[in-house]
Amino acid sequence: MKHIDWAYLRRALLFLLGAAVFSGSLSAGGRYFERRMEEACRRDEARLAAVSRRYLTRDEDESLIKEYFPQFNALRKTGVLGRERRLNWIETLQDARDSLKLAALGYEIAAQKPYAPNFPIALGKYRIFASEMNLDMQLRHEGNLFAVLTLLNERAIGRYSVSRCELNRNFRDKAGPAGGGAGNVAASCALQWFSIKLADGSEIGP
Amino acid sequence: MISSLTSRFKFADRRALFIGARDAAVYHWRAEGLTAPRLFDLSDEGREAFRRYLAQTPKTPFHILLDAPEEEYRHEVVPHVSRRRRAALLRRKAERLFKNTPYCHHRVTGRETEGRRDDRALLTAIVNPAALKPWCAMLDEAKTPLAAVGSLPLFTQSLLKVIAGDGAANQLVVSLQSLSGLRQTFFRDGAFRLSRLVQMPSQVDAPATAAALREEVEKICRYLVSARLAAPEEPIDIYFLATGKLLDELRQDAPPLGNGRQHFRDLAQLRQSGAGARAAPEPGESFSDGFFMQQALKRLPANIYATPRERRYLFMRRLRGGLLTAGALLLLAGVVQGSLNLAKGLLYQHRSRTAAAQADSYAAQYEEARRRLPETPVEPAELKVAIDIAAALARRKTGPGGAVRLLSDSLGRFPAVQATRLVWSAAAETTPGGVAPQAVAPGLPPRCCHARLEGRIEPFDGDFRAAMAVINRFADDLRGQSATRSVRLLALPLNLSPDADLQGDTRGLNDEARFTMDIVYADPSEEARS
Repeated sequence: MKHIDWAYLRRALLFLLGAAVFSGSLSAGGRYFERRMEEACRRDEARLAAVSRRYLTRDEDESLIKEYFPQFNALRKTGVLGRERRLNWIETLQDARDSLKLAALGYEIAAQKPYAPNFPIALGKYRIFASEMNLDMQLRHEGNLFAVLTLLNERAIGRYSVSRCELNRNFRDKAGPAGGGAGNVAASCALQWFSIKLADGSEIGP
Repeated sequence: MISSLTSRFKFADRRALFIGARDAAVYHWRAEGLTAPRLFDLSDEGREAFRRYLAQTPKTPFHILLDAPEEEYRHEVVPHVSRRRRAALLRRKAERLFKNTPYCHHRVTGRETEGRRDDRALLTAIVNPAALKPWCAMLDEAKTPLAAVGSLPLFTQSLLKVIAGDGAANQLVVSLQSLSGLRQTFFRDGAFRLSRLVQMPSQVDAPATAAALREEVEKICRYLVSARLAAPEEPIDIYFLATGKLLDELRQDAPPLGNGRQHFRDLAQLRQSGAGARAAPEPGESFSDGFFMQQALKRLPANIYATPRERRYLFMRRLRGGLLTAGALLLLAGVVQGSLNLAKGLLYQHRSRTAAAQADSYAAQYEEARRRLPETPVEPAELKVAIDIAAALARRKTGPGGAVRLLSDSLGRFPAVQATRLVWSAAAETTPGGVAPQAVAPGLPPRCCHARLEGRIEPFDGDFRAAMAVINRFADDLRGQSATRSVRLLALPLNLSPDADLQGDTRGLNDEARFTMDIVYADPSEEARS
């Protein structure tokens, strides 16, 4: 290496370097252009395929809309789809307490959380969310519990399922009835209020 | 003249420098053959002219052929060792024999046939570097590649087949060079043994030169025998290289030379047969310079004397050639690759545009058709999925009503049994209060619910046997209902197990007949009932 005259090789080295840079740029530029075009092509062909499928299924869409859209709208009205109606629930509970003349009806509603069903179900683009409602009631008899649940069924907007319930009979001692507004039966129940949203958590429609 | 030389240079041109004892000459080899030599004095003026010549001609690599009296030869015998060790040994020996010169060369010429069968080696050197060094320095200064430096006597060995053919044991090649003089080179069994250069007049007078030649040849023949380089009884084949009048003179007046057998080779014929092209003009008749240079440029003999530093521009020329070739290949590859990518990209672009146009067309038609239908917040196919989910949630709806109804039926038949606490759970996997799940029969459907009932027998008169009988009958009654999957008594008024401690008051004043049981049952949907 000590005998090498770099000045003698300078042009050749510069040519090689220039050729490498030019060739690399040309190759990289060409590859970049090809990839961009390939991506655009794939995107447009995928879009064409989707549009074609949709175009070909427009008759099917029409029949689906006619058959299911009314039911879908009904679910939206009943609060199963879309935002949950907590105010309506509370008002229904107040009505139940008043109409059944319950000694006490306390409620506690937890924040809504995603719900993982323990049964197989195809969710598609949807996800189920649930809000847990805990009710503490002082009942005159066991039948009041079912009256409350029936009122919720009839008047509350939404769909729920009872997951746990505990009933305790309040025994009166020989001195007289239990004080403090206590009923004959103390009940404590946990209800799951379900709502169906899109998979990303957003509400369905207006 | 120089400019015309420059314009006539071509890529495949070759050139060589012949350095003699008197002058130096540059020969060019082109497609049509060897051209006329360009002469340079060994004086400063001659070197300056050579320097100008180098500056004005392309950097075609040079081969140098030296025919000078400064070259010495030694034959040595060295132990037969590995190639690497032998090279080191011969290098040290050459340094010891030829001091103060970088131009040394050694080669193994054969092996002894007896004893240790040592190697025979030839060591040569240009003992006066000044004969060669200035020319190499000028080439280096002009950045002209030096391919090889060889010597005429050693190069002659590679021409023996052309000059003498095969077979003869003792061969003496006699040639007359205009730039150096009379060269006599002796070969034994085809291997170089000895060479001698004698100064001769640069102008040839055929009869006188022929006589001088014979005299010198006779001398060397005598020397060869006396030095035992050739056996007295063996003939020595003498090859005279000449042409024209001198060749005629040598042939006409050819008295026997001791044990020498004389052969005459016409240089003109040799050059024509060797070159396959027209013969180059000679600086004078009967000189061999042109023949040797023609052969040297044709065969391009390997380097013998040039040092790595003196040959550096040859290495760099090759390196530069490699770099340029690599650069050109890179360019070509880049252009090809880029073109291929571009072509494929354009193809994709065309497909993309076609697909986009079709998609737009279909989308427009679809939208036109879609406008007649109500707008849905989700895709039409997703409407049914949401409805199915809602229906599934409805089917799975649970509540404590089933448990209460189940118990009410049985409690109605057992007025002595009073329920004090009911803990109900929709979960199939666990029992209320975290009690062991063995109450749950495996494989039960998910809507199978649990209820834990705590109660007591009232009124209780202290008759545990009767109370437990009532409780057992109550449990059996529950088991008899169709929805019931299992009933398990967890606690009875008395724990009669031998593993448990048991205590009480026989007067029975504060005794109660309490029990606890777990009930597992299948709960029909609340939705279905409602």
